[in-house]
Amino acid sequence: MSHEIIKKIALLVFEKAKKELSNPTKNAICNHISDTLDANPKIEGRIDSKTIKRVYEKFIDEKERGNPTEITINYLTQYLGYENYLDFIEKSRNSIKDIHIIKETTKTSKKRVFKTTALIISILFVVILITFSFFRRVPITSKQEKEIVVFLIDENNQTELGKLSKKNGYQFYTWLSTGKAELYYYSIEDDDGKEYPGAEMIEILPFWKEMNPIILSKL
Amino acid sequence: MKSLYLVVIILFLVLCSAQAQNKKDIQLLASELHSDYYKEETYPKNVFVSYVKNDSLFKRFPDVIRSFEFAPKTSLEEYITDCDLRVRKLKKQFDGQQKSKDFEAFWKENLRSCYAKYIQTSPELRFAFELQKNNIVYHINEVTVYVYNARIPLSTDKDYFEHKKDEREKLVIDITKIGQNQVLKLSQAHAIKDGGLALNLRLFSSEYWNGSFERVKVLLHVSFRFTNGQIIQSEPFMVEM
Repeated sequence: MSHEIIKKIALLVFEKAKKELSNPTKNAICNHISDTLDANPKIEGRIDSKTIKRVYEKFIDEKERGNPTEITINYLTQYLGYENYLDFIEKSRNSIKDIHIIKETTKTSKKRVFKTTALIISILFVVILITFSFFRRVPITSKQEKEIVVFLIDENNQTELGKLSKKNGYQFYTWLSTGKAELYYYSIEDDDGKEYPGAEMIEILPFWKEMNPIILSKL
Repeated sequence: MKSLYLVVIILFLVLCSAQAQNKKDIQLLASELHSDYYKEETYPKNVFVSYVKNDSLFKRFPDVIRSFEFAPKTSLEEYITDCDLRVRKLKKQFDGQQKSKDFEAFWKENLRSCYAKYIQTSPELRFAFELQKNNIVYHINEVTVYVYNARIPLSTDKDYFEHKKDEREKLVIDITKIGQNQVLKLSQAHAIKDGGLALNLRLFSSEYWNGSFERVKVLLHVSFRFTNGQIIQSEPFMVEM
């Protein structure tokens, strides 16, 4: 028995099973082949799905496995609709050439999945790296036990970042872009809070640099 | 008739004594800095001899004069430099277009955080008063400021009361009115009652902020007039404002 032809038989068998299944996992393929052969009354004896799995691992996963026996090969050729190995050789001389294409397609498909996954992971990594390089989650706190509302001043706009209150232990976390940031804040507890505001100019460092919490100066 | 006169005289004396007693009901316990941006220094009285025109007032000065001086840390200095740059840029941009009425709003709008920093870093002094009798309430609704001199070229928190919050007032002092009393109304009447009063005065030399953090050394004292007629005068002190 030619190793090359056995390999081609295996590829044809698994390609056929794959087409017959909606979710063609390794286990599903092997079980399906075993069940199909069992269900065929013309076929005597039976082949275990574990045996088929070893063939799959040898030729598809390219793992170190022993060569399939002649009986196994005969079962596999019966799955393809031939009587046995010799019948397969006899009847499929012309189509054997096409098997190369199947193998290549399988390999290409595998490569494509690998490439796509690698690309997605790389893009995700870059996005995460950019996010963490340009933004940082920083804690803002105050030593004064006062309810304080904090804004980010950007040009002439102000964006509310959060409130320091007893509820949050006079500390909250917020995302800020790296570089200089200007904070404006006042007490919402005091009636005259807005009349006595405070401000802070802070330097937000990238995530790989150590940074202390932002403590607002006393109002 | 003689006895009636005697009774009237005694009553008059009792009333005078009671009034005199009233006038001493309040005591100034302490005056201290209430700011993280200032430090306290002291100078001998003689340093100020040339800055006080009234000799009789100078004679009453304590031997040591306290001075509250602006002491910004590096981060604040950087912030001030940044604000100065922005002010210069805006002045250039709006050259000659500022209307005096819109002045404060203009600065507040364009330099909101710088203005906030200026307010935050202005000198705040806390005057702690104690009431001797605990079943009376007196009020204070104005203070008098006496400026001895301004622009003095010198080279060079502990809590007394457990108040829930301190009473706070902005005091805009005209530092050009030298050697005269200026009465400044407080925005509200502050009550001194059992437990005392901690009155925080945030001092400013102008009603409007001109965009500069530059401060002037001013030698002054503050007088507090309470509704029982008692006037308490602080010791003269110097403050950068």
